[in-house]
Amino acid sequence: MAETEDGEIERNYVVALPLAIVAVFIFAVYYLSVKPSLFMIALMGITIFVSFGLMFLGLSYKGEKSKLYGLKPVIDRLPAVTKPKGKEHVHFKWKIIWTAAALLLYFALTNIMIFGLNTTNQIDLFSSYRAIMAGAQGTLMQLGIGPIVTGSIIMQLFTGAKIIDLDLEKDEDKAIFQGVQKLLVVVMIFVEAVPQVYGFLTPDSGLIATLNNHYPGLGLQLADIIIIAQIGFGAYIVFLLDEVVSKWGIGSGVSLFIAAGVSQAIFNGTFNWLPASTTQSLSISNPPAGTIPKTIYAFQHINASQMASGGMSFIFIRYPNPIIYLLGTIAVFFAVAYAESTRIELPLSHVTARGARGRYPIKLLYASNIPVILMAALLANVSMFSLLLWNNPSLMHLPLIGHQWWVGSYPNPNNITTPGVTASTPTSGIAFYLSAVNGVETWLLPIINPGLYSGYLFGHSYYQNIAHVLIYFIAMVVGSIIFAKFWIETTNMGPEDVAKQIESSGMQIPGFRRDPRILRKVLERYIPAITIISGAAVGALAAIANLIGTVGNASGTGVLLTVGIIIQFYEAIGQEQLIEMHPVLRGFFGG
Amino acid sequence: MAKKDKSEGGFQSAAGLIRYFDAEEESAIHIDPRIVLAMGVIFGVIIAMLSWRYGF
Repeated sequence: MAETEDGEIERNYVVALPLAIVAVFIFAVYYLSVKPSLFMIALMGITIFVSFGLMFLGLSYKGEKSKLYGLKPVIDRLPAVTKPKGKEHVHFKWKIIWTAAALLLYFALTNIMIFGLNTTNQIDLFSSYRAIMAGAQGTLMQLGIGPIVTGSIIMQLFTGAKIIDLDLEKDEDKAIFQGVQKLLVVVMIFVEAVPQVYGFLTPDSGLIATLNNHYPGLGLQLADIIIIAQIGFGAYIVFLLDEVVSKWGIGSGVSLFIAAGVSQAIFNGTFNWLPASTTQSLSISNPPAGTIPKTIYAFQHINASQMASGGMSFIFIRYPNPIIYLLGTIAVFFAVAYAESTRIELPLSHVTARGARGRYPIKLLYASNIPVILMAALLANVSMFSLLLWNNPSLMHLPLIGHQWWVGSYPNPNNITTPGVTASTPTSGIAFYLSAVNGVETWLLPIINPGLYSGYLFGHSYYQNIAHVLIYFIAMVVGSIIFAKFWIETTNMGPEDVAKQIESSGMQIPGFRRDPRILRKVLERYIPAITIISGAAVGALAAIANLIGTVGNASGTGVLLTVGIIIQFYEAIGQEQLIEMHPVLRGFFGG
Repeated sequence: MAKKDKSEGGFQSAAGLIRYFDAEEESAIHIDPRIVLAMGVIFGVIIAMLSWRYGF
């Protein structure tokens, strides 16, 4: 037995010894190599104490269940947003109000800049993944939903791969899964917030000077902490807002923020009439950023001979937001809407109530757009950590992987001349080959004319450029298949579970014996195959969308996710209204 | 179909995240949703005021 009668968890206290030795060793290395101030010693001490304390709680657990049960004393007390009580019904009107309020607050916070930030020298770690990670660079929403998604990916991958031994059909295990996931989000907030202040979000010199006046010698450290605290608290607000929307509103906060961010990017990319570089005045080399104003401007200011010698490509395929991006966005929108509604329907009939017929739909995108969001978040983390390893003043000195070209190198912000390339565009190594290809301009044009478009090749040869496109495409497809398989595993959508669900609802496939094993056999013809196909399809769709390019840096993946989210949101609203009109249905939907 | 929903036991998925809000412990620190919104607003206002007051 893991728990004694009064709920006390039995622990193996011997584990504390090796952990303490490792903790002391790390602290000693830190102390001897950095020679920190008393203030930093205290800070580092707290960090090590908390992280090793958590490790101790997990590792010392003596029961036969998952080690994560050892964390129960902590995760049972993590803050949670209050749920609507019991069967209390939240009226549709109020659900809309909660959702709108959360969205409004989120938008407001994406517009408030971090206090004390040096605004002239910053690099967006998420860069091309910004649309999916939500939030905005340099604001209180710097991290967006990054920590939430990353924490969730870790839990899902580990549970799916059976590294974490939790059976998600048991309520007890669900509670542990939910709790540990929450804890991981908090950990990820720190993991993603702390490295940012070293080289990416540097404090303003005015703030450092002011702090130095009051606390001599500690100015920089305190300024760093002020910035970390703001990003961290902002990220935690996003996390709580997500819970508010999930419990009191419609859909979930995470998907709402993704859809909102992508929609904003598309709107901006299509209609923004301000120049691409706001510091310079409008000219043909600095046209309006949005597709439509840019096209109108180009037709007004380019004469016939210029049109023949490059004007066309300027309008249709060249940065910023050419017409092909707009067409790409529209094409992705329709392709996804079509794929979303493609399904096979298994005919069902009720066992006792003769004549009651039903259908069990198996969607083409059975695993929905989930594999893609997980894959994109994974690649965003690859991009972020390779950038940190290249640029971060302490991480770049790590042996073997610090500042190595094969991990990923990045251009110096002062030497960038190619439009569309930023300080967070990988130019070599693993990060380059796995980086999202954004738009035809960055891969197709260099293939057709390597001389003219060499700015996007970063010194790579013709074949390396083709390899980049292929590797990225294959990574998206294969990665999505793997995530789709794990997703089906962890969410009980496999043949056996679905058979049980259909069986318990009293339905059967007409013409077959009423037996869950038979149902399972029929489902086994479809589900394993559709899982792989759906993963591959959705991964390929996202990759192709990225290859074509989308307006406003929304990214193909972003558009793909948004279309799916809007369809789900629409269905959720429909369901809500049905419940409002027919209160009896409430029981059926569990609302 | 009522039974089917029940067997899923509070499972909620959104944008690839698996959450079990029903499985949350009673012992958790409960925050009223209105407090969350208020915290967000106050946080934003304080930071905006600080930036405005000090100019950085």
